[in-house]
Amino acid sequence: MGNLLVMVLVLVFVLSLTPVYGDVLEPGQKTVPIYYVLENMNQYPGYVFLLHGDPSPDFMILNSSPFTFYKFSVASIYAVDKSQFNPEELMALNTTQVEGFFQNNTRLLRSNHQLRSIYGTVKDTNPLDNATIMLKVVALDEDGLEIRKDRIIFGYHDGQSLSRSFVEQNSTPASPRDDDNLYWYYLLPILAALAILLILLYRWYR
Amino acid sequence: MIPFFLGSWLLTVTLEAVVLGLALKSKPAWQVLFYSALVNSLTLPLAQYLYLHYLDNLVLMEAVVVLVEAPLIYLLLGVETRWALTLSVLANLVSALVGLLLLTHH
Repeated sequence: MGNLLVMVLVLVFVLSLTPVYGDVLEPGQKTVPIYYVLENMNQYPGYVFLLHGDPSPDFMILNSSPFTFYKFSVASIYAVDKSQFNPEELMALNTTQVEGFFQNNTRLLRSNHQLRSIYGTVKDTNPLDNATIMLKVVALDEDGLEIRKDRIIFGYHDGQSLSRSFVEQNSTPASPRDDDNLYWYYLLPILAALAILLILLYRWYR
Repeated sequence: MIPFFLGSWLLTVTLEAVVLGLALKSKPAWQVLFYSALVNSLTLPLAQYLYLHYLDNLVLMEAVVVLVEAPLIYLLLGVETRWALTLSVLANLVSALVGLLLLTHH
């Protein structure tokens, strides 16, 4: 029994070694990142979708996978006609030239949204882990690119995810699970402990 | 929709009761289910709370739960200590695996 316990404890210790991540945050706070997914980009096969942010990324060619970017950046999505886009030409440019490309290139269609990669800073005890905003292209032609924020999916530490729709484009829905469920975390274990104690005492004195 | 907490509680209580019931066929089913509900009402919320806020490691969390539940199984169900630890490991292994499967396919 003793050996088994020691083996279990050693195994647990080894398996529990995880990397430590550092960040500049107030004690007891954590940053919740936002990921974005451009859901219906496949409906526009004639276009390439790019992300450009200040100060980064210089550019990112978007696909249907979730994307995020440097936490202090503000980024925008651009669309460009596939026939007029050469990725190698863009890759050969330095940062200043890339900035000029996105500022002055008339072939680029800039979206109506400025994206941020941080949902917010919350208490360490908040179960919210990340948020994913689902974007939809609602209009794309030579006149411009219009993108709508469709919904936000909140991901929680315990694996649960909850979705909320955007009612207004400039107002991000709040996480539905902000606070801990006190009844669940405190009351139920206390009641169970009391019940177990009563059963054991009853047996002891019977 | 069943709230997440209630769903995880029902699933854990049921799965662990099944494991305990299969291993301890001499015990009445209602008794095994009742003790499974009691034990998991104590450990599941605390485990989730610790995992969410302090102990971001599922393996370590499950090990703590196993070590807490083993003496409770020993005391409540009246089995010998080694058997109680084995049952605790098995019951928690099954509930953790099923829970992980459900979460990854959700």
